Amino acid sequence: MESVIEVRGLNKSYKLPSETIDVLKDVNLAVEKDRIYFIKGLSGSGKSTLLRILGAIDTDYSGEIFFDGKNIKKLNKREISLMRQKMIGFVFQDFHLLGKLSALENVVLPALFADRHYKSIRERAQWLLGRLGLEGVASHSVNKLSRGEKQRVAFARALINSPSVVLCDEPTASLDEKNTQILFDLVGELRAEKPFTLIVVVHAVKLKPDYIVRVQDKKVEVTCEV
Amino acid sequence: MKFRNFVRAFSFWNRGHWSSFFYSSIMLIISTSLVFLFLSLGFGIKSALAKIFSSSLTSGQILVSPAVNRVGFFTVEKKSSSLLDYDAALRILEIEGVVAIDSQLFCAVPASLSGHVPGIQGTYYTDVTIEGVDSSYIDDPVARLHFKRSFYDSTARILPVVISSSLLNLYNAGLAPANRLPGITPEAVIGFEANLEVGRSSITEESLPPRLFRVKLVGLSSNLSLLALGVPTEFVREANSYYHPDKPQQYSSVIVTVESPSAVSKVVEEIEKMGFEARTDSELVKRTSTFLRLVTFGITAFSLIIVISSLTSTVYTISRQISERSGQIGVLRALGASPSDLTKIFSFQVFSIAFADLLLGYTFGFVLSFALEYYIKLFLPSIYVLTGGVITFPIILLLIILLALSIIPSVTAYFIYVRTVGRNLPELLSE
Ligand SMILES: Nc1ncnc2c1ncn2[C@@H]1O[C@H](COP(=O)(O)OP(=O)(O)OP(=O)(O)O)[C@@H](O)[C@H]1O
Ligand SMILES: [Mg+2]
Repeated sequence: MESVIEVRGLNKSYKLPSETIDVLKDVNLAVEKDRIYFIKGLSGSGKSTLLRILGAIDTDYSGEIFFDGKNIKKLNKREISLMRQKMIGFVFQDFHLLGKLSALENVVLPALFADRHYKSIRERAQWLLGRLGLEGVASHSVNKLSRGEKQRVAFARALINSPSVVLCDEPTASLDEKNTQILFDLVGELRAEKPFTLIVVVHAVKLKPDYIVRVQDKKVEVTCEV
Repeated sequence: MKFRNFVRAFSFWNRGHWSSFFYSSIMLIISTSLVFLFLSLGFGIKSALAKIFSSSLTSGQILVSPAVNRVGFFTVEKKSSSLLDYDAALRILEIEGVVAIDSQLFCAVPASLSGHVPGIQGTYYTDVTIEGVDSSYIDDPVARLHFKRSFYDSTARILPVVISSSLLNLYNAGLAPANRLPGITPEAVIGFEANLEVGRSSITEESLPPRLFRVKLVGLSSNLSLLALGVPTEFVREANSYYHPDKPQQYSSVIVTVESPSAVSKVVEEIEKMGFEARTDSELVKRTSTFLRLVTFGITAFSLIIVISSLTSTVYTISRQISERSGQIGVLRALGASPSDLTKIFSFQVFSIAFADLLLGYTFGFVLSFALEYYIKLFLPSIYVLTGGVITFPIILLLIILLALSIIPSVTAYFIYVRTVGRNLPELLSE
């Protein structure tokens, strides 16, 4: 099976003034193309850390990571930006939306930098927001939205450029069961149209992934669920 | 990036930040126009002062006068002072290095001037001191040719006179504004006529009867003492010998021209040995230039303070704006905006704003300065006439300073921004 992300001998630690926190140690992992991965683990185990590294947000680590066959560390800033535009959709645990912009504007933002045709971007953004039940608040400033609404806006934003890998950090944490279902239905629908890899940090969902990545004691352990 | 996407990204990037840009723009415009106004005014004042203080003594000239003690306005002749008479003048002329002397013959006879100021009701009357000067005191060559008149000439012929340019300055600076009189330009004052009574003043009177002359102003001289009326030398000599046949003829001052500026100190030494006071241009220049240097220093220091404070405050504001938005920069980068895309947006913004501010500030400063100049011309015409205007526009200097004022913050901001944009992403996102 072709892998879209390959992790070899990854070590990650955070350097604080007083101490160094080792979060991940000698992690090896191959993420297969177009599969669904759930990352699980206790709070503080390093799930978000791993996700940020996989999504090329954090490049401060030792070891090697190949994204779509390219060693991330060997890419320059422009090439990484290009990769983020074309291939990666990222939903942050704390969203990182631009509060002064409307929901719709937040969603179209990545496509502006990918330099796509604005009219088609806008249509897709409206469609995504509509599918996530947000058509009523599309023009509202993001600051005014509820947490769950923000979470869905962040999700729509991650999908706007039709990336080949979508990484989500607890995208359903603030959602009720019904909206969680809507979100995963949308994922199913989009994947049926154009398959993509989905890597999600989740605690408890009814949905079954292809693989579960368990983060524990600075190590990861992948189990196949199918 | 497509232009329309760029414009949209630009407006998204600035959403909610326009007001802060508006304020920093206003700040920059105000400081730019203030610097403009201040520099124009400062340089204007400096050149106006230079004009007032300038002496017509060129280098290589020495002003010789009887040694006196100055006590405020009064001058008291020293007992030991030698007589600055014809013989003394001859001796000065004989000093090695002296090329020529122009003398001012002292008139021992009291005199008064009366007439009426054109355009104003009523007459004036004032006591004056007469000094005999030669035609070299006059600029106009034609007037120089006609600068002669005998005291004994009893016809109605006009007596040509010269007055001190300092007197005109004094009138324009003090008397005219205080009495709401119009300022007078040097050109306008030439040709002015009045009546001169020789042999009598408001305080003394000669035993022989006074004589009346019609005088006409033919020139201004900055070497003449303040309240003196310069008349042809032969007139004074004749008046002196008419009223005081026994008194020696004495010069109130002699201007000595030396063959080269390097000979000045040697000649001064000789003259002082003879018991006279010798003032050189360098002394005059030194005295006025110390003052002017002080003024210049003040102007420079003050403008520097304005420039530096507006520079630092602008740089500070911009850098704070950037650091406040480093989280936003992080988000945009995480979404795939390249540092160069973001830098393009930012540079466009900063440099266009800087350019607009510069233009506005420059215009505004220009208008302010002109308004001030106009105001002075309208309400303080005498000062305007005296100084020839207190605003000057050192255009190139202004342009350089104002360019620095807009380019330095922009470039600084640019570097701060480039550094911020290039920081590692998780760090940016955590802000
Ligand atoms: N920027 C940072 N600097 C220092 N330490 C950090 C930083 N980010 C995370 N850590 C530490 O690294 C460890 C892993 O953090 P991480 O956010 O990856 O955990 P997590 O598994 O996502 O937890 P949660 O389920 O609560 O979100 C934690 O101990 C955390 O305190
Ligand atoms: Mg986390």
